Amino acid sequence: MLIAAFQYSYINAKLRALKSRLLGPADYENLLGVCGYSGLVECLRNTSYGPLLGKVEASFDGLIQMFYQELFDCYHKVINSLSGNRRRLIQHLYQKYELENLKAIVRTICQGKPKKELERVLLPIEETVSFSQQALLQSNSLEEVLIQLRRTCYHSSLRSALYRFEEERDSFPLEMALDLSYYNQLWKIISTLSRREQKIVRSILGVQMDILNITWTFRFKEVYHFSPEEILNYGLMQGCHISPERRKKLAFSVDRKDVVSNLALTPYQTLLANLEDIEACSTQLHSYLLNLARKNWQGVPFHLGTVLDYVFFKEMEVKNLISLTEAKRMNLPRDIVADHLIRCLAEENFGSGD
Amino acid sequence: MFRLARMAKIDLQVPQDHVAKTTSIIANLKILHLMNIRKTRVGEMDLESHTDMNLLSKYIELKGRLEKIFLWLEIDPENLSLTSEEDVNPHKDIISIDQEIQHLEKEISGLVKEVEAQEKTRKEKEQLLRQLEMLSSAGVDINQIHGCRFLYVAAGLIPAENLDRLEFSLSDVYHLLLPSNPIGSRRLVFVFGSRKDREKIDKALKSAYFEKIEIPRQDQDSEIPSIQSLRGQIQELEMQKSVARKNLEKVKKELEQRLREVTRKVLLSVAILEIGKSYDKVGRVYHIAGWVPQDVVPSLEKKVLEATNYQVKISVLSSNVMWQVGDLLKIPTCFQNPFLLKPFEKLVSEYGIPSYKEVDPTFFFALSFLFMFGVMFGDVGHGLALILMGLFAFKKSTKQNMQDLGLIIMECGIMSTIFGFLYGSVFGFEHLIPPLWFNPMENIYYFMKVTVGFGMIIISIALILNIINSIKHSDYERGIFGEFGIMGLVFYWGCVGLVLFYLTTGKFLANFGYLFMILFLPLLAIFLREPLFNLYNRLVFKKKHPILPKNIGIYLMESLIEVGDTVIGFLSNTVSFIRVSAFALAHAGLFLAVFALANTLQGLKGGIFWYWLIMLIGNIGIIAIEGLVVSIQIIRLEYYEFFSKFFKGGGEIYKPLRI
Repeated sequence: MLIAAFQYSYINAKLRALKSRLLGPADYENLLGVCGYSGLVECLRNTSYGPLLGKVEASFDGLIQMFYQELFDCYHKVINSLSGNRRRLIQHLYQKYELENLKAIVRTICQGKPKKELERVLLPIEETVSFSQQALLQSNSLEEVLIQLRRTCYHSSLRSALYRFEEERDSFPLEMALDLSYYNQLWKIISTLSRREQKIVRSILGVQMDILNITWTFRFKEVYHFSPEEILNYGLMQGCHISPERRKKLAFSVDRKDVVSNLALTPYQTLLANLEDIEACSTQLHSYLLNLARKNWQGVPFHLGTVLDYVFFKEMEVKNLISLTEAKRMNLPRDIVADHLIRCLAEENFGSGD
Repeated sequence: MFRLARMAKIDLQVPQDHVAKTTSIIANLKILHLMNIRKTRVGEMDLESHTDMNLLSKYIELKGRLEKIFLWLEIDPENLSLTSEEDVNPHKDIISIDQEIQHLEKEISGLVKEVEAQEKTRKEKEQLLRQLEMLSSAGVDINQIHGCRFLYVAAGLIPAENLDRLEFSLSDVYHLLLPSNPIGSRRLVFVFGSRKDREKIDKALKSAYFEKIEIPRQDQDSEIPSIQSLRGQIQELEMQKSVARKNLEKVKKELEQRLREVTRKVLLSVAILEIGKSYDKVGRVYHIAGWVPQDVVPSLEKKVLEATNYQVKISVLSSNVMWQVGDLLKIPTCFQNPFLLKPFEKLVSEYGIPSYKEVDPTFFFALSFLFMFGVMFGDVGHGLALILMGLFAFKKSTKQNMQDLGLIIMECGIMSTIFGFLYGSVFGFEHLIPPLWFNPMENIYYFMKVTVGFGMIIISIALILNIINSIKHSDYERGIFGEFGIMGLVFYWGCVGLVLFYLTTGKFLANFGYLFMILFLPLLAIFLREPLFNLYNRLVFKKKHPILPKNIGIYLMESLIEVGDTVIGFLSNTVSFIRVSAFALAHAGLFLAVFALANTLQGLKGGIFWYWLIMLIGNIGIIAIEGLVVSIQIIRLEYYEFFSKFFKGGGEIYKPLRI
């Protein structure tokens, strides 16, 4: 405990300072209440995003890029305050966004589309950790991408999936292989932490993986119409409340109702009852995770869980802001927008800020 | 040593043609701390330079091609260091570099293709051989497999980490998985199942990234060779490959120098173009602004001017000028401490980076840290053990942080040894050598007085540093009337004088005049800090501030609390140093426990062994646990009792540009 307090005192103080800049319930209420996109931009000026807004074009793309930029800045602040395997873990979580860019590049190459289309899609990552994004952008074929990735954890999985692309001419197997490789690597990094920290980290990231497994199962069944065997192979082997046996039950479920009934005795069943679309399920599950993170945050602060809580708060804020921006651009009514925001389930309010 | 390095601001106006060369020089010199143009007025005016992104992309493409060559020739690019004084100009050199890489590719590609083709054929044949061998060793007749009407057989390669996943996904289907030897990161696997489950199995295999291999037919009509002839073919291919590999090695040796040069040029160009983003540009002239230590300005000027044929205009704002504007511009903080004190800079920086005008507290920090460590951990044996541990970390580690830690441990060990002699303690044995000063356990009250005295010295130094820092920042209010300013110092020393008087004479000093002067007056000055300073401003600078604050009630309340806090703070801060002696006593106390346990076990069978085992474990435990606790306590004292009185912080660490 003494050592943990010594190790985490600095980062903890920093995180609490950073958390004070997150949007609070009142900010969300204001943002929900404004009229249209320009109203949203004006409203954002009165939040911690205000100083940043002066530097970007208030275009839709510019705004989204700014949200991500702010998220990445926060990531760097957190990463710079950590060392050793803890730093490696947060760095890996940050690499999730690098992976998104990598998948976008791979998709563009597979579809033979011009690189210019990537400009709108790529996330504004200035400092990449595992590969040079600029070098990747110069690649014209998957072989060239492989050369650029040869020192990363993605190389072997992408190479193993290459034959599938050659057979199917579809980027799905490649992207899926990259995702699976990413989460395998994440679990490996977690296992390098101390036992106490592993337990804490798995209770947070494990729930995130459970959420992915559930939403992927929905998607694989309803959109891709995969067989149970395929669903099991494309699912994540790790998680928190979903055991391998339960994963199998989910994969063999007939429909969504069956999936939800097979989640009995997990915290997820009651959350998903009566929900119609996959997005609503995802929002509800993330709201549960937000609740969990909030509870963790209020406990003993000297562990890696606090760091993950903050990172999650920030990520959810960015997700919510993107949903809000899209909705305001389309002038959707307040109630519909509010339904798509990740909120604290206990208090039914948005945001994690103080 | 007490002063941070004097910095000068340097502005270089560089014609476009000389930007690359200038960047190369300043990056090699590693002395210029670049100013972030985006945070200056120039940046706000959007005059920042925009690196030629097309050129940068081109260089990155060239880098990719070079990496391909490295891969072919099995060269590790990490071994190519970037320390040259290359005359690189990314704009001009692009064509020649491109041509050179093309030549290199041409010279190598023929041989590489030959080796690759041989390698591919060899691998295919080996794979086939492995399949045949595996099946024959398992007693499986390939023709029989093909003849199976109800059995479905699939062979293929699967990523090793997907094997469990595949097994799990097939758990509801009757099947047999037969994994073979690994091939790279994948494994050769045979899957047997019922033909009626073929669709399920195939879907599972596909989703587990199982790359199927056709099982060869080994009958009289097929072209599949026998195991024997395959082995012969592979051997022959390996011989051919080794010849081709030798040729490639020869070419590699011939081309290595050229490859090294062109790589340096490419990497340097990429770095120059990347750094170029930090400059600003008006027309064809680039503006590079930054900070350098005052004493190295001439050498930087000389090198840049000579290299650019005096085409660069350099203007320098000397440290004296910078001193005047120091609060307006964020001047980087450059420590200049001797080697032995360097590691302590990091501990100081953990609290905060001193601002440019502050006194560098590293010397006081290091000295008091080592002194307190010695006092709290005084033992000749433990000191020597720490010296050895520190030496090991310093010598064996390649990481700077570990070397710094090693040096600190070594210095702590030396102080621990010195105090061990003063206390007469060796691995907890108090009577092996006579104490040169005193035995802590036998002179507890004396020991406490000594450490409180040390605390008084530390607090006095903190107050003096605060006065100096306040004067340097022209913050006279804080320096004179602040609780840690001159008035605070007079009050504190007055109190110290009273205590010393009592200790030496055994009587309280009852001189009213003295008490009024050294206790009441300074506290009154602290209490009336704001009005007094306003009065001073009125008289000296003719400023027309009102003397009394607007909300007099709140002001009086705050001042009263501040005075009370000052008195209690000085007392508690001084008393806090008793912990130094307390931890030294705890050190000795822990030994009493270890000795008691060792003596108890000595009565058992093999008593001597148990005695020395407990002594060994006890000593290791004390060094590890108490060493850590003592360090934490010292850092606490340094940060809370020492730094909090004078440290302003808010500086930016000096980070010279390097590639």
